[in-house]
Parts: sequence; C-alpha cells; structure tokens
Amino acid sequence: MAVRRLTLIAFFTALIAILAQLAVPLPFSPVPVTGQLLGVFLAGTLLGGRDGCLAILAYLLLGAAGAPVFSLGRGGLMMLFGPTGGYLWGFLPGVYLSGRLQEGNQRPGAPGLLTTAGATLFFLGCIYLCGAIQLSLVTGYSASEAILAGVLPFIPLDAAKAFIAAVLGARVKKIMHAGGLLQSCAVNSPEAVRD
Amino acid sequence: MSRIPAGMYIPGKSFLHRLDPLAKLIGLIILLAAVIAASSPGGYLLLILFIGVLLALSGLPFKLAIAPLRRTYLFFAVIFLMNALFFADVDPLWTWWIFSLSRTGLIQGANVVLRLAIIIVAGHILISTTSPMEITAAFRRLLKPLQYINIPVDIVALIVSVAIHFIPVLAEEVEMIRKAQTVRGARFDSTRLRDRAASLLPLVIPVFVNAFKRADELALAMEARGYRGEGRRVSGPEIAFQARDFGAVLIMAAICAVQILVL
Repeated sequence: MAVRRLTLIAFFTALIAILAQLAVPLPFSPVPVTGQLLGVFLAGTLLGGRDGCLAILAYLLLGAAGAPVFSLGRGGLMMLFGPTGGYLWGFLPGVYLSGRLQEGNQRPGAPGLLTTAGATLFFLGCIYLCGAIQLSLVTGYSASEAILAGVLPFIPLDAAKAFIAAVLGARVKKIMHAGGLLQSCAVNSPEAVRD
Repeated sequence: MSRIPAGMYIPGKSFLHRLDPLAKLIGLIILLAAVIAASSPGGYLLLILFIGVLLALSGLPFKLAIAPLRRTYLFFAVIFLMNALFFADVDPLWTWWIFSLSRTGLIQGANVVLRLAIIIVAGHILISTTSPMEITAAFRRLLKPLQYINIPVDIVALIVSVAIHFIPVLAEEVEMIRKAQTVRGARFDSTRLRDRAASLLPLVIPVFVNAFKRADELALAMEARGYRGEGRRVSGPEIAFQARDFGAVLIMAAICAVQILVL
C-alpha cells in the first residue's frame, strides 16, 4: 500500500475520534448529538470500502485499548462488549458495504449525491442491525424490545446526519479533486495500477 | 481531547499481572460468552464466585475493583425498575396507572443488572492489571490470523500509532478553524438546529482539506526517512504463550461450557 494512502487512513481515524468529541446538546433529550456517525459516514464516502474498513478497524482498536476516542470521550473494552457495543461493530460491515456501493466510478463529481445518500442510509441500517443484535444478546431483550429501545428513537436524527454526511462528502470530494489531493493519494495505490 | 486520562492501569506483580495479555483478552471474551449464556441463579453464582477468585488473584484492593459499580449504581437501579415495572405480563403482582409489577419483569430486571455488573467488573479487572500498550499488542496478536483473509494487521497497527500521534494535533487545528470561522460569522452556538447543521460546512470542509494535506506531508517525511512499508517491524519484546496462559484459557472455556451445558 502506498505510504500516502496509509497516512491518509490514519488521519481519517484521528478525524473520526475528534468529530466524536464534538457534541451538540439537545434541549429535549439526555443523549447529545455527536459527530461520530458523521465521521464514519465520511470514511465510507471518501476512503472507499477497503480503506474505510481499515480506518474504522484502527478506530475501534484505539477505543478498545482504552483511549477516549468514542463519543463523549468514552473508551475501553466495555464499550465494544457492553450492551451498546453492536453500534460500534456495525461500523465495519457498514463502511465496507457503503464504500463499495460508492466506488466504481472515480470521475470528479461521481458518484452522485443520490448514490452517496443511499449508500449512507444502507450504512446506517448495518449499524442498527448489529446494534440491536448485541443489545438483545447482552441484556436478554427480545428482538422487538431491542428495536423499540435501541433503534426507533434514533432514526430521525441519524437519518438527518446521514443526509448531512452525504452533502458534506460530495462537497469535500469535489474540493479534493479540484485541488488534486485525491489523485495524488491514488497514485501508486494498487487500485490506480489496476485501472 | 488534550487531557487523555492516564488510564486505570495499576502496576503490580500479581498472577493476573504476569499472565500473558493475550490470554487475559481471550479469557475475557470467553467470559462474555458465559455471561450471555447464563440464565439460572446457579449460573450467576458460579460467575460471581469466579470474579471473586479473579479479584483475589489480581491483588487489587476490593474497594478499587468494585469502584465502577459504585459509580453506576443509579443507572442499575433505573434499568432494574424499568424492567420490573414496564414488562407486560399476563398476571402482574401489582398494577397502578401505567405501571405493572410482574414476576417475569423482576426476573428480567435482575438478569440485565447482574449481567452488566459482571461484565463491567471483569473488564475493569483486565484494564487494571494490563497496561494500554500491552492491550494494544494483545489485540495485534489476536488479529494476526486475519492476515489470511487479506486484512493487513501490521498496517492497521501502524495506522493506530499514527492516529494516536495526530489526534491532539488535529484537535487543536479543529479548535483553531472553529475560532477563525466564528470570526467570519459562522454560528456555532445558534439554538436553531438548521443553523447548527449549516455551520458544520465551514468547519468540516477545511478540517478535512487540511488533514488530507497533512497526510501528504507526513507520507513524504516517512518516505524521505526510508519507510518502505515492507518487512517486519518490531515493537517491544515478543511474548509467547506459556503453560499458565494455556491453563487460564482452558479454565475459562470449562466455565463457559459448564454454563451452557449444565446450568
């Protein structure tokens, strides 16, 4: 793997960790909105399936080893193996599938906003699926209880985040192409050689 | 993000401290399976006794080991009551308005609380007896087999170390950009959700563009110093599984098997 690609993935891991610390308190809920999902959604859009997976894997490892990189400065093994750990594990299949769906066409301006938004919603679905499964395994909730407690209340805000991430991803990609930054990172990478 | 807590690692020379970190990690994962499989009072008793043995082996003061439980008892109480009072059951013991206390609800509540408590204490024991560096190395060894399905474990390890290095740097940069954009009129503290969402654009885009540029510079610096990506990198002494490590994992597996098959 090209060193440039590698450092880019590492910076993405760091960015996800930082975005997760940006919290917007909500007047009506004790759970604040954080940028964690925004970061992982963007990893799928900007890095693609395989590299996005590496960035997320590194992020989860950092958190598991105890660094306070998860939302609101939390970290530790228990975040992954506790009742809500599935929402973190879900990033892995999610980023892979979402990245894969958006790969294919590397022209500037592609894929379109619609593809990106669709792939990101798919990503969100993966997170919910893994999250609900682990929630019910650890706490012994039934499937419907897990969905009621762990999925339904979060859908509106998360969908809004997915949409924001899609818009941001498209913008950043455009700027990257204009500045020649994405191309320079793709040189020497196996993908570039294959194409 | 600038104040990364020193961690809860407490140096020592106890049996658990000396155990291979990988053995501890595998042990914890098996223990989690045993906790998930537990459903009878006997099963929980076995697990609690085992946690007690672990505590004795770890040499940690009892008060310190159960500290995370004392911090979260309110949370436990809420979970217990939610389960006990809102569980829909055919013959409730006591009902009032929307609340209905039922036997199944009580059992469900106790189940959830016991499981969480056991998981939290077990994880706390691991973190207290193993330094973060050791845990990272153990993860690396645990993930080693993933190489056979084309996941580059060494690259992931390198990504982790670069990311650790740059989190504080990038965090500072985010703060700087936030201030710069505030000066230019971005409204980060507006109470309207729409304004908040719109204010993300002038924050996130420069942050990402900067990160991409920095990644480029770092790659150049690494290549200039001779990094080529191939070959074996060494970090610290390699540890190998010993008899006691195998023993520990076997005991955990036995407890899990008893839990699933007998209790």
